[in-house]
Amino acid sequence: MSKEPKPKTAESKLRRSVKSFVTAGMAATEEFGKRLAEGLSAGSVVALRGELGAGKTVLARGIARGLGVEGYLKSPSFTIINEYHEGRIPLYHIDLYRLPEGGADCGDDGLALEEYLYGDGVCVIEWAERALSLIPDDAVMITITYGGELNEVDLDLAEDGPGDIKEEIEESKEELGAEDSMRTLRVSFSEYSGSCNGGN
Amino acid sequence: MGAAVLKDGSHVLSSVISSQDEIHSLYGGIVPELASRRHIETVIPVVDEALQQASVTMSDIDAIGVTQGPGLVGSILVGLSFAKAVAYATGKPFVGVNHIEAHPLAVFLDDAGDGVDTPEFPYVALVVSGGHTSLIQVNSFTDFTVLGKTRDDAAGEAFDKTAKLLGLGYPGGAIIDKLAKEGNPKAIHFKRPIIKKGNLEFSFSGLKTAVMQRVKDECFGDLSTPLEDGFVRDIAASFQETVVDVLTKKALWALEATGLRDIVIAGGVACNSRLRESLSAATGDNGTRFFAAPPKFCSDNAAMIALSAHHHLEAGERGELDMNAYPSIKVM
Repeated sequence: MSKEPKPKTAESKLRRSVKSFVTAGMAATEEFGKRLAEGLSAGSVVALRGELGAGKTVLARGIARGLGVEGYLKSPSFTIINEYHEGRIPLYHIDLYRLPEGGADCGDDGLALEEYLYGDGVCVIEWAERALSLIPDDAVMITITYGGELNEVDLDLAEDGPGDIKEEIEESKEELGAEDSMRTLRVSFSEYSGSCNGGN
Repeated sequence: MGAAVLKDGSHVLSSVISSQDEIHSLYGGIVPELASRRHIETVIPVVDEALQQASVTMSDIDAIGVTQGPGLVGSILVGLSFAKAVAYATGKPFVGVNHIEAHPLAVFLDDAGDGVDTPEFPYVALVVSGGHTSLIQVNSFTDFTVLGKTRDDAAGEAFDKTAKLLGLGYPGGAIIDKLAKEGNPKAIHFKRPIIKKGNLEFSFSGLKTAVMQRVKDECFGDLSTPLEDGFVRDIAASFQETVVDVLTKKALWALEATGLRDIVIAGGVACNSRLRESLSAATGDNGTRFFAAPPKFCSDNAAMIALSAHHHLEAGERGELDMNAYPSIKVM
């Protein structure tokens, strides 16, 4: 079932394209994942990066839906790998959150990830930066940035500051959807594939 | 990895865990023992230690129980292969156990050998850990019905991620439990992820994000800013209260929905003192009763696997040498 690992050397000839999307809310992020899934095939790897709560699992859920996996997509943070076999091809939802951070790429270290990466299904890997050396060159890399425009505004208000300004902030928060705000998806993929089709 | 020796199906003669909490805390939550290589190194010493502590030898052992899943396939295979090898070499029967089904049975483990208070079948079990949050109806030692489970994150995962966000280290659950005692649980209001009244499923993903947003607000978006101790204590207390509230409510709803009267908690989060306090306070009326195993049998341990295996063997089940690991057993 395993394919030959693709060469991953520094002089790799693959050029990468980068596209940025802005998704408004979780539903849009999930929908993007669903569309992305259409271009995925056995051996495809989607590497997701983004801070806690950025929407990685939401995007993963979209991919699962696109592959025909129904039901809940439980977080693999503790289990590390969750397998789904009910879709058109197997989905391996992987989360490297518990591997060391800060550039200490621990490689595989006995997790046997390569069995999955070069296997018969699609791998969606959250916190991919924890083991970048394992990620194949032709993986689709997606960085999700939490919109949070309001965080950029450095407001220095006294506790009992002018009520109307506070109100305005609350209102604009509501308009943007405080819990459901914009995400920027920076998608990088191999040039030769010509689409978000990392696995051919 | 752990190994235990049980006598008469529930009396714990020994229960050894090769804990690496000290190593984890260096990394803020990584689990080197998940690597199968580490398992290969520890399986024999851990089994030897369990036999020694129980003052028995392998020839005194009647049968072997082993975890068949769920979990990382590499880790499960090490235990499974070892159990098969011992069974083959000694001719002893062995049986594979579902890790999640063993948790709700831990309350039957008898450490001292002089009897423990146990619930009556069928009862409701709330299994809460880093990887799982489920309400399970336990019909017998070998028969289970899932009443509800998490749609996204497990409760223990929310504890761990919150602790990391607050810079508290590992294991997050225990540290938050301790800090929360000095904080104000009403200081910060987090929306209770209830889904809707009577619903027995869980969702803790949004809570984790809400905690992060609140922490970011506090440090103006720069997470490297040191947080004030008072704020950390209050957010720990408020976060914990939110989780405990939801777990308690849903446990009671599960009793209502099933008409059962005994509730058992299990899993790593069942060690949380506030959760125990809350469930203890919420039960007692209408004949409802609350049971919890001692903390060492709530978190992952081999004694509960042995107990579950005992009952599967009693029911006549036997493992075959071609038995496979099930990384993602669907139940629960």
